[in-house]
Amino acid sequence: MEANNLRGHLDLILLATLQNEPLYGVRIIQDANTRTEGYFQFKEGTLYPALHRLEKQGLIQGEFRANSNGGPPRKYYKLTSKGQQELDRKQRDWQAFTRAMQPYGGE
Amino acid sequence: MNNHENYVREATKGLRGAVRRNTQAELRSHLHERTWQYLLLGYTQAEAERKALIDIGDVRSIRRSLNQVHTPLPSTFLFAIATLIIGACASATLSDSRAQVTVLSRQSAPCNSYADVMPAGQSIQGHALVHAGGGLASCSGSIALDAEALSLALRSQGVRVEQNAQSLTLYFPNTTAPVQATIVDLLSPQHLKSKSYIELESLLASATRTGLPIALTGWENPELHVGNVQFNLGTKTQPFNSAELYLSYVVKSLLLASDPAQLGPITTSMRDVRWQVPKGVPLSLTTTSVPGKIMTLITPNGDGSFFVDVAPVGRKQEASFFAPRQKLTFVRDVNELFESRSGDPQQGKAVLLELADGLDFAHWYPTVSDYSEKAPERFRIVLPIGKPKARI
Repeated sequence: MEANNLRGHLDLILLATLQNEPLYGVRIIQDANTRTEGYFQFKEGTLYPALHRLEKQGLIQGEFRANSNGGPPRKYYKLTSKGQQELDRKQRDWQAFTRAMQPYGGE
Repeated sequence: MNNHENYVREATKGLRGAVRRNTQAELRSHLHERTWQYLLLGYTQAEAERKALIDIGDVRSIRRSLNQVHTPLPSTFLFAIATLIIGACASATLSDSRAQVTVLSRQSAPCNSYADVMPAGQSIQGHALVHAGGGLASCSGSIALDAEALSLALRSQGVRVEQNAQSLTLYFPNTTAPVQATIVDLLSPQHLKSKSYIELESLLASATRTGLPIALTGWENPELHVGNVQFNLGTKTQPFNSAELYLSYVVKSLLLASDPAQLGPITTSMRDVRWQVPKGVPLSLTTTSVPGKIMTLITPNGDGSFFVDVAPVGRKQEASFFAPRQKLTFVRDVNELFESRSGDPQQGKAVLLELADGLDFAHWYPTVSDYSEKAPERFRIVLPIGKPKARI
């Protein structure tokens, strides 16, 4: 995946990943990898600044929870109502964009 | 864990108070989680910790990004800084150009296995790093090539190369679209310094999308063909362990075959497939295959996972593997293996496959339909002659 493409859609990917359930960093990476069949490959360390930025914007909310495996607590992120609105908006934008590009995408 | 703690501290420099404490806790948790996952795959504690560090990426990059989020600077100050950085980079480019030719020493390399990148018939300086990354996505992304060395190898064969901070753009002769390879800055644990490498997976994936044929041949210092360009991974003095590359290919194919209903095998790979582990029993098999072929031995562990190993066929048609047990019953039908994957491990069912010549990496990212159509071309079942011999 080209880095610029990934950067441009990172917020949408993260918000959509958190839409169904709260997740922590490693799971977010794995979920995105699974959903995109490996197309998006995060440099793992770059995930956290992005999550923190979304948290500061009030789009997601993080909380530490105990680790069932006995390791250090994990920070789970969940989508806020503001984040859900932003996700809806981004998804509408994306659908409009892909519709508009359809005639140019080839078969 | 000292390296992890050093990383966490370095990454959070510049942050203050609760933000710093919470970010440190989050990064510690991440590194612990990834280390734990690697331990499940059979790596030693030291290897697992090192691989977790590599996966999380360049410490300077994450520190810079975290500081941008948490300690934003006034725009006028940013402009001044940006001007300074541009100036500094311009002068650094000139002064660093000679230093980049220096070969990494074994001690300073972040991984325990690496080799020179060498274009066919020509020796150049540089290294390929080998590390098993996180999950299946990085089975194939586990090999990183020195960006500078690779550029030299490609340029010498007519490929135009453009490099920026994020990627290498490669213009192969007679192709319409460029190939892009992602640059990753890997950490040297001794000095917390990083160097630019190319993720081999990104190179192969992009080349595949561009329509370039990709093939891998040989075992020791294998030859990688991308379009009309070819280079060896490894030299006589610093041989490249191609087992990991072949293993990743087999594992990926296995996963797709094991659960074709799911298109998301990437995260399950961590638990479903074990890689070669040193604790296995060494087995020597005499095969019906011919010398030089690459074989893979696959046997269920009995807990739903597989034990996989790869080996070349030697002069006397022998191939040496590690296996979880000495007694194995070889079957002719791979499906039989999947049916018994959760069954009694004492049954010891196993299959011996011969990989097709010039392993076609165009199927590095196969879909399920690819697998069902192409699998027969990629593997051929071979039975050992006589009983396996264990060498303990």
